[in-house]
Amino acid sequence: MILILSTFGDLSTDWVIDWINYYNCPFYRINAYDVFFKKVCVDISNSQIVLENDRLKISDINAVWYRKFGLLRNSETFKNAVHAVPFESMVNIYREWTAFLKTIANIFESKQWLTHPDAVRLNKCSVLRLAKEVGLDIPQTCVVNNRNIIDQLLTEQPLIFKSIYDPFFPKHEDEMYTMYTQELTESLVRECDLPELFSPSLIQEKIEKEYEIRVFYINKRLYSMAIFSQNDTQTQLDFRNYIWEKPNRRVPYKLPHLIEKKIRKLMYKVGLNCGSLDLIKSKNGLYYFLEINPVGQFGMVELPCNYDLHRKVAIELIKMDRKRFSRKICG
Amino acid sequence: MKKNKVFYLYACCIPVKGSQRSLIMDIQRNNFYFIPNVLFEILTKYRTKSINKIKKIYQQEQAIDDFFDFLIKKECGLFMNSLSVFPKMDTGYQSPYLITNAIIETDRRSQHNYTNIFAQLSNVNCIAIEMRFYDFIALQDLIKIVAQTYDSTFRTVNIFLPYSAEYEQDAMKEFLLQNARVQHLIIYNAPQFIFTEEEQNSSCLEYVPYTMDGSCGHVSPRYFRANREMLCESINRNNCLNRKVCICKDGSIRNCPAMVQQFGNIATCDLKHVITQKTFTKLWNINKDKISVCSDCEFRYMCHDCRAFITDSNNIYSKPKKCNYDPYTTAWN
Ligand code: SF4
Repeated sequence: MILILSTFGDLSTDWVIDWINYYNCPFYRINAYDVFFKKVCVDISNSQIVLENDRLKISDINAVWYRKFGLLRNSETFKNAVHAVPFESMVNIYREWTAFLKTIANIFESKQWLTHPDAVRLNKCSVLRLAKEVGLDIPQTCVVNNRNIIDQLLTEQPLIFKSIYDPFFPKHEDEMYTMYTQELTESLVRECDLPELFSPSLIQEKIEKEYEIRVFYINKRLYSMAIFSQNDTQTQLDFRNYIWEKPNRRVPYKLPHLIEKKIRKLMYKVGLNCGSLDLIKSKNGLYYFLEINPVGQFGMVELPCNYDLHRKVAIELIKMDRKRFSRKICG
Repeated sequence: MKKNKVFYLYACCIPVKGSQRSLIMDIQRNNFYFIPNVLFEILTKYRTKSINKIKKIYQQEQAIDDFFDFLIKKECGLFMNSLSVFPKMDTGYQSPYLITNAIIETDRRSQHNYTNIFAQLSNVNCIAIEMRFYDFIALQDLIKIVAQTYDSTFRTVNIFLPYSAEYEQDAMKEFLLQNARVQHLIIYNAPQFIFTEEEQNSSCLEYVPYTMDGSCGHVSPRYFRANREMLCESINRNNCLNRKVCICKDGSIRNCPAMVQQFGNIATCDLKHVITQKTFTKLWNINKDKISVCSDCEFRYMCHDCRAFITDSNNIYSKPKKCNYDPYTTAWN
């Protein structure tokens, strides 16, 4: 049986499940927030999970799909608790929660995972280092905490800065700040009066890009998409700053074999069999690797390219669940 | 400089050839742009040829430049050194659902067992239903019916109701809030137009001064849709009847409400058995390319088909009756 660890309302999960159903394969879905509303018992001594009236024997499970399982801070329960509970307690609740999810994940340790939970916490800088090791080009990158270096670097090349970990959206007096990739210009440095010392930030050389490439990776297969966003200055740095009326052109793309090979190597090194990757094709003809998103939104690649990815993910899961899989479906 | 380059037409811009003219169907911006047939040829047959070569082939300079300027202005593509990294988009059509959309008709004589109907539709993984009421139904009865979709496979439920004073806005809005599956509630025969969208779940409540009958099968640019689903379904299947089923007022199972042929009654038949019969699905495979006149029309992958109202009732491959367009003259008559 396939176990799906997901979140309520995740459409990609729903669609993949539709295909699993279509192929008549047994599966069980647990949503992270189920534990807030349903009766759960993780019975460690008897190797089973009891959810309401369902009894799930660990030994029946062969493959586990780990997808967006357990971002506590996105849940209503968490949002409400933030106001009611002191900060330190909240930190502890968060730790408990993480440990609980980890418990569930650990029980299935020996199973076939599509995205192993241990691999999802990536450090951008380590991934860049590994990318360089496998021979991918990466932009000049450093983590700095002082203005001197920035001033000096800016005289040499245009820069951008981004979050070291996850992009987030700090809210301050009703204004939303985004931590999306931004260009760091001399005027910006002056305007915001950047102090001599600040919290360490990731600074990268700005690559003059021809287009961006997003890759969905699953079990060594790559499905790529090119994003042309140059026409409009608003989207030049990060296509997530989306313009709705005139969406960027997003088209199917085929990376050169050599780049694909290096990406496979990189994914192997970071221990991921599924995820999405961002690259840039630069004006001078190079492919620059930027980052890996372990819980990549493949709907985003699927929609413009018609890659039939939901079915393909379903088939991969079914294959992992029963190693010997009828040829008919794979074709 | 650009002489040796090739023109890359974005994979989301689909050239479609008609008898007298062609068009580019822009499936990312739900739009289309007319082009002469010669440009269609350039974009397909000579797709990989450099601008220089194309100019030589046609012995034209300015006209070719003008063509490409037009395409670039419409943001349909750009000049590239090579197309090897840009595959075309696959236009296949895949669906895990045996039925994607079902219509359930009800009037005062109907004796539907909704529990049975919803269970049978769920059994064929139906994801969307449309409930058409031809006679007044009390709101509390409607609520009872919709409640029975609770265990179904439906993601969306759309409802048509004939206007009644009982359907006042606040009550209907409350109904939409309580029933998340209901995304579109249309009250026809209404005294005036009212359109509201619920912020919380983006469901729509609409009062329209139209009647229900005869509203089907019309062809007009107003109804054209240029998107990926429409393109792929139209290329491969009948874009109206594919994976559709209708449970009519009397419980009979049909391809659509306007079709006369019946395939048994939902009260006594196994729906899954009925809708997997060749006689039932044969219309699903009549795509636009198989229909006379439409197969020569540049609009064929964005135009809704209709097999119920056709120009020649003896020929199931004849053109939709309610279409006034003539692709051989490009005139809307
Ligand atoms: S000829 Fe056919 S495809 Fe063209 S507009 Fe009329 S119905 Fe649509």
